[in-house]
Amino acid sequence: MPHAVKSQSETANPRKILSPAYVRRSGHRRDEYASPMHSDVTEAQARVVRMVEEKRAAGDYPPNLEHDLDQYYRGIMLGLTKETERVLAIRTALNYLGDPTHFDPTRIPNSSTTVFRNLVHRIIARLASRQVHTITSQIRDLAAAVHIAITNLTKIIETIKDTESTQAERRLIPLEERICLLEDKIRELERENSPR
Amino acid sequence: MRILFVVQRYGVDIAGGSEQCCRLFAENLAARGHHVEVATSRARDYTDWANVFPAKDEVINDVLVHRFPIDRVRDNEAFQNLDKQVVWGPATASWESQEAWIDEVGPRTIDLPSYIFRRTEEFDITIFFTYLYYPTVRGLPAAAGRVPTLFQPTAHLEPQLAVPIFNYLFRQPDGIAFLTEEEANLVRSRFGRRPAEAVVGVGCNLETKGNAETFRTLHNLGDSPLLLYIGRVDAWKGSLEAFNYFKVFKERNPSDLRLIITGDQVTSLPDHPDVHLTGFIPETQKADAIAACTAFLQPSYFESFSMALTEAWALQKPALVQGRCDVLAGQARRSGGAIHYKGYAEFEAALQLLLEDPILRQKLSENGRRYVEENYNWDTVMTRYEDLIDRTVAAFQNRHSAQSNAGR
Repeated sequence: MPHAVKSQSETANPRKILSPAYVRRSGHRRDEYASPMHSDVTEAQARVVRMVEEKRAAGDYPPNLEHDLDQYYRGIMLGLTKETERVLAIRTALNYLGDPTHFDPTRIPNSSTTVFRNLVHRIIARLASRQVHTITSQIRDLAAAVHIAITNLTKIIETIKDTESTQAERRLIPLEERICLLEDKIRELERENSPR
Repeated sequence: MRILFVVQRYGVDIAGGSEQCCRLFAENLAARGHHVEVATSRARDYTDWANVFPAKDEVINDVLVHRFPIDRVRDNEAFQNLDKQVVWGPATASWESQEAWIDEVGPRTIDLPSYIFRRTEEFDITIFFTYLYYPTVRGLPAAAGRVPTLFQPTAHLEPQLAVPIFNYLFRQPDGIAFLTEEEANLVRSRFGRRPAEAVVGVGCNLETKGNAETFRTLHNLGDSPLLLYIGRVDAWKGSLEAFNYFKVFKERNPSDLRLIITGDQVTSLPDHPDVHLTGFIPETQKADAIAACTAFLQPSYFESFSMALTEAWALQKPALVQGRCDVLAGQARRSGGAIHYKGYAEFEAALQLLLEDPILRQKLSENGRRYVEENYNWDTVMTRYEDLIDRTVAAFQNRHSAQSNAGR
């Protein structure tokens, strides 16, 4: 559908009601479309996913390739949903928590500018390595637990929002119908009273 | 039945999907014995809404068309300012700004609403096409409540749909015709339901044949495998992304594959030896282009249907579609005629698979054709459409009898 020329303002900030997640939640489930008739196509779609996983594991996609090629989509979607930036921030934080390599003893610096201090740091690191490993392992466990907790909380919040909006919608529909009837009535009265 | 259609542009050579959809419904109803008229603007191009068609009435394929002058071509600066405020602004714009925005969206045909008001009672039903434009926003309230009104919003996920003025508009009609389940869900989640609703789709001419050789010879394409895109060249249609994806695909997977782009260039693309731009092509050439392609590409993020996709399936072509568009992903799943992709990695893998596996291409082609035959042959679509028209008329009568009872 050809639409009017669209401005893509840098400060684009439209409404959350148009977020794809909102629409998807309020619509029917995705698996309603899954058709046993098209198992070969489902298999092809699965092959696509497998090929991508294999290539990704082999490091076949240069860094930033996919990110750079998504520029148009990202630009449009940032303007489309009010919550996108906040959601992205939560996802980034969740990814950080979910990545165990962020909590690793090897990330603790033990070097120094002077030879003596360098030696001292390395000795202390060697002496305390058992404790450091235990602490980072505990932090990893904690991060994993926090990751699960936030993921579950996000799901619960979304469910609460859905329930609330459904109930509100249920109350609004009869009101809308009444308003429509009143509008019709007004139009009829206007027509009756308009000069012929 | 006597039926009046209202649409922003009308004509056999108008490229817009919703305009084509409107013309096809009007002509099919006329072919089934209904008296059909159309009220539209004199514009051919949506970028400026200049008066191009003559003001006189004309009959196009048994449909009587009335054209109304546009009293003001678009002032792009004023439009951009209002658009930033009304569509993209952080807070809800005033009602006045929204009204002014609708005037600028256009085509501003100020005589059209009063014409609808005067003549609408001569018709059994008035059908409005596309939610966004002036003729519908101003015309639908002029007819609603007086005669049965059916609305075909051709809505898709886009920020314009959130402008509050449309809350009022979507409350007006007695019935709504949707093109897909996804469009119905989007509209219902945003605006609630109307008394009569149906997903009718758009019919597809199953008899169309294309000549691959004619297209290949005309554009000097030899025997190369072809990936075909039909549509406008702009970021919103996903065609700029598709161009970049294709460019990288060719760098990473050298072959004689070529990308054919047929459609108006809203944004210009850089030259590429393997990308062939034909510009806008007529219907006959479109069928030839589809017949010539190895696979059909639909990269748009925002579609309410995609007639080009069903046309490709009717001509038994496998498709590769944008998985980020719910409508296209839904159509792909329901039909089994397309592979959908999200992002470059999946695009590359899916295209490799399609090019390397002729059995898969054949399977997708057969599934697509069967899906179109079962769901989008014009007889099936028009049966659904006429049933919806009957239900819309009944809903209007019920509303009025309820109103009369309430008034006693």
